[in-house]
Amino acid sequence: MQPDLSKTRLRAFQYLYIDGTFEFTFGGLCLLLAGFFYIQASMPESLLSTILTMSFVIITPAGAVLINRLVNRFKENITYPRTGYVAFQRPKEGLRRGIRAGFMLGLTAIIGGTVAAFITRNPQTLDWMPLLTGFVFGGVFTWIGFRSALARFFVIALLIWISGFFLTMRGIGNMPGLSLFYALSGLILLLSGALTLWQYLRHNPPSDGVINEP
Amino acid sequence: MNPERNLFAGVDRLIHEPSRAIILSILATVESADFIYLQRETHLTRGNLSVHLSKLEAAGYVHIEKTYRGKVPLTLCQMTLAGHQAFDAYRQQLKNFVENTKE
Repeated sequence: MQPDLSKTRLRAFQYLYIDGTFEFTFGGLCLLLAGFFYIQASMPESLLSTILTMSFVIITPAGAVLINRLVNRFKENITYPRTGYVAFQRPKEGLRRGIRAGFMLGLTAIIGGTVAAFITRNPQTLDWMPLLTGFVFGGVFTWIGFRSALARFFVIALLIWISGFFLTMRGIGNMPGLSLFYALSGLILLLSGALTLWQYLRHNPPSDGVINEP
Repeated sequence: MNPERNLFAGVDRLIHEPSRAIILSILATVESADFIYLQRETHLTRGNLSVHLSKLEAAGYVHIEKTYRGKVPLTLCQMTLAGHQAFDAYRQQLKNFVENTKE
């Protein structure tokens, strides 16, 4: 065996996605968002819809925290007893982390501001939201695919992008379109997660519970 | 002994063993890893891995923490600063040796 450090690092990174839990939790969050947009589309004037709209800014960060917790819980019960635990290296320099976080925040603000300004000037462009969201999601999964060198993320990215494109071309409107988009994305991710988990469980039976001790 | 051979003579013999070099190469790329992960990645037997980890721990290159996750024992391994320095120096020594023995 050749101790190739870049490959070892890549394998450690791939390990994050070995069991499909990432797709499960991300897919679950997509289905929650699909429900949110479905309520917005089907009963726009209701109290529930108003409460949900007001709490939307909380839903995204809360969803990120939820994803993190669910992935950890899943891994503690399914992955670590089978194939072990690994903690990934994080950037040590506080300043560099701060700059990176600031850059991401700035970029998000610029993109968000541009989209908001564009929509305010021309409300009709709201109907393009499935396409735009599909483009962003597709970009995220393409990036994960490149970082992890796992082909399934490219397939997911392509399917999500096609979903966004198809729903926008159908012209079914902003909220119903987004609801369907998130529902489709969630199903794509859950399917991918289920297939990955099935393969993982098939190749990695549970350990006897005492193996993690030299 | 000629200078090229001297370069190799100074190599860290503790790391210059394939299994231990592989263990350190894994631990160098992660924050920490448990015994199961290392066993899976190195393809070593439990006994072998245990012996090599003990040697690396005795040299101060690896910190081993025995803990529990619920009722399941967890052996967490982490490369120390001395381990990182020794591993980097070892890689540099090998690189120097290869560069100085070019045909």
